[in-house]
Amino acid sequence: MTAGLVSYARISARGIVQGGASVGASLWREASWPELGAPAGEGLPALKGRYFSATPSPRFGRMDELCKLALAAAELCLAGVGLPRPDEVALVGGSMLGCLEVDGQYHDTLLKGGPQGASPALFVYTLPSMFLGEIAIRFGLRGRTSLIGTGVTSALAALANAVRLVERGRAPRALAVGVEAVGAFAGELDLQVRGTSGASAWLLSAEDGGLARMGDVRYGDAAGRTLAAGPEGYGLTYVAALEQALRERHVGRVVCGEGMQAVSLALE
Amino acid sequence: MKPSSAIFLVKGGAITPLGDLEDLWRGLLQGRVAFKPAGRSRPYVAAHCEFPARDPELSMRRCMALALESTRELGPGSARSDRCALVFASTKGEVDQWELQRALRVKPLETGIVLSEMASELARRLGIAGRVLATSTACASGSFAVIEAAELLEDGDVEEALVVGADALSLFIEHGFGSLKAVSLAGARPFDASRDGLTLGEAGAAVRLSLRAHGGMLGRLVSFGASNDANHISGPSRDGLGLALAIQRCLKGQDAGRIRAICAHGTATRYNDAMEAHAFHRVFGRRIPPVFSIKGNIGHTLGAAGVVELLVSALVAGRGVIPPTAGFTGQAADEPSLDVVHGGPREVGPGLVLSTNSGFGGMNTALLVGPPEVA
Repeated sequence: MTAGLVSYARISARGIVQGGASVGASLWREASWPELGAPAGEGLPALKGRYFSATPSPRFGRMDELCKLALAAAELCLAGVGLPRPDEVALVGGSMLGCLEVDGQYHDTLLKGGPQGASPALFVYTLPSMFLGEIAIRFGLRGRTSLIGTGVTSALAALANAVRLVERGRAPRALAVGVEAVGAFAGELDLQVRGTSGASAWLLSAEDGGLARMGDVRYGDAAGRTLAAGPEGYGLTYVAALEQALRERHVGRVVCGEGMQAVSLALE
Repeated sequence: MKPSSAIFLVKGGAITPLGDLEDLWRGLLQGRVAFKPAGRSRPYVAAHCEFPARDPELSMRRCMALALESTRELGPGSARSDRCALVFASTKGEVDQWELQRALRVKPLETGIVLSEMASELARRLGIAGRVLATSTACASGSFAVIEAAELLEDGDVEEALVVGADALSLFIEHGFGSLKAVSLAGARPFDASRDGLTLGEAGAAVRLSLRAHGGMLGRLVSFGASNDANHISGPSRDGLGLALAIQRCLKGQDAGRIRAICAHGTATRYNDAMEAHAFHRVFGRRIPPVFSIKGNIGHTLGAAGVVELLVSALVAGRGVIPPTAGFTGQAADEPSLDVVHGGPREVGPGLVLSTNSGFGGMNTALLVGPPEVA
C-alpha cells in the first residue's frame, strides 16, 4: 500500500508554490510575494494572514514567526481541499531549529528585565511543537500530533513518517509540515549548516492523491535519485529538490541525507 | 493502537529528584516529597536531582548529564549498534547551557539547544549508530518518543530502540512558568481540592524497547494512542475530549476492565487535573480504575515525565502496588469523582496500567503497559 499525495505547498523567500488539489487541474501554481499582496522587497516579507487565506486565523498576528510560517504553509496546502473526519487527520512536524528564534526573544526579556521581565506571551511559544497546536486549532485536527528533529533531513523525515502513518493504516490522512524560522539567534550557534526561513506542507491520503503515490519508506543508505541540497538549508535542505522530482513526475526512489540518517521513499 | 508485534520494555533507568529508579519507587511508596515549600528568597519551589559529577565537562550541561546518567543502569543492548535506534525526547534540550553561555556572551554558542544536535551527540556517547531522532511534543514528549520507538520496531527499521527523555531545570523554564502563574507556592498537590499549580522538577529517564523477550524484563508495551485537543494553545480542553480520544485509541480492542491503575499526568494545575477527571469519566464512566500521580513527589519533569511515568507504570503493573499521590487529601466537589490513591500504597495485584500525558499545543498520549507476559 502507498500513500497518495493530495496537495502540497511551499513558502520561501521567492514566494509560494502550490501543487495538487489546492490549485485544481493545473496541478502547480507559483506566486511571488507582491502577487500575494505583500510589498515588493528582498526575501520573506512580514507575514500577514491575508496573504494565504481570505478568512485568516484571528490568532495569526499574535503568533511567533515559526507558527506563522507553518500555519501559512498548511493554509495553502489545505486551501479548497475537503478534509473529511478531521478528528482522524494525523499531524507530523519536522524542524531542525524549532523555536530557537522565539527562545532568543524570550531569553532577551529575561536578560533585560530579570524574572519580572519574563514575557508569558513569548514563553508559550518556546516549545518547538507549538506550530502543530496552532495548525490543529485552525483546522480542527484531533489526530495524533508529533514533531521530529533529524537535522537537515527533518522536513523529509516528517514527510516519511506521515507516509508511514497512512500506508500502515495508522491514520487515513496525514499532514506533514516542515518549517524553519531563521533570524539572528541561529547565527549565534556553532552549527555546520545555514539556511533561510521557509515552510512546506504535504497532505497525504490513503484513498486518493493526484500529485503522486509515495511509499516504501526506508531509513539508511539506499539506491535511487539523490536529492540535492537546496538553499533553504537547516531542516528544509531537501524540500526543493523533492518538489522538483514531483514536478517532473519522477518515478522511482528518492534519497536524501547520509548514513543511518538518510531517508528515502518511492514515488510512483 | 495495539502493535502488530509484542514490544517489550527490556530495562529502564532514571535519575530523578528522589534518586534512581529503585530509589524513586521506594520513595513513592513512602510518600516522600523531593521539594520543600518556598522560602522568602524564591517565588516557587523546584525539585532538583542530586547525582555524582562523573564528568567535569558535563557540570555545565545538566540536561546531557541527566540523559547519560539515566542510561547507566541499562547495560549494553543485544542488537548491533546500527540496528539500535535512539529516540530522544526533551522540551528544551540543553537550554541550561545555552542560557548560561548567552549570559556570559560566549561566541559561538554550543548547539545542544537544537534537539537533533543533542540527540546526535547523545547517540555518539552511547555508541548507537542506528536511526537517531529527537521528538518534542511539549509535556507529552517522553511518551510520544515511546510511541515513535515502538513504531520503528514494529516497522522493522531496527531491532532495539533506546528512548531517553531528559529536561534540566533552568532559569529560562522556571521564570517562564512563573510568568504564566502556573507554579504552586506550596508545592504540587495533584487532584487535591486546594491545588494551585505545578512544581517544576528535572529528570532523565531511559527505557530499552525490543521485539525480543529477555529475562528479567521490566514489562510490556501493550498499546498506545495519541490525539490533539485542537482547542487552545496553552490550556487543556475543559471537557477532556482530546485526552479521551487518545485513551480510546489506546484501548481499542482492549478490555478496559483489566486496567488496575491509571498513572495520570496530574500536574496539579487546576485546569489539567479537572480535564483529566472529565476525560477518565468519558472513557470509563463510573468504573474508573484507581488514579495516581507522581508529580506531587518529584514535580513536573517536562520532557522526561512521560518516560519516568512509563517506568513507574511498568513497576506498578509488575509489582501490583499503586503508590499514594503525595499532597492529595480530597477532591473538589465540582469535579468528576476519582478514586485517587492516597495515604499509603494500595495492593491491587499485577496487571495493566494506563499512563497518560498532555501538553501545550493540545498534545495527548496514552500508553498501556503490563507485566512482560500480559498480551
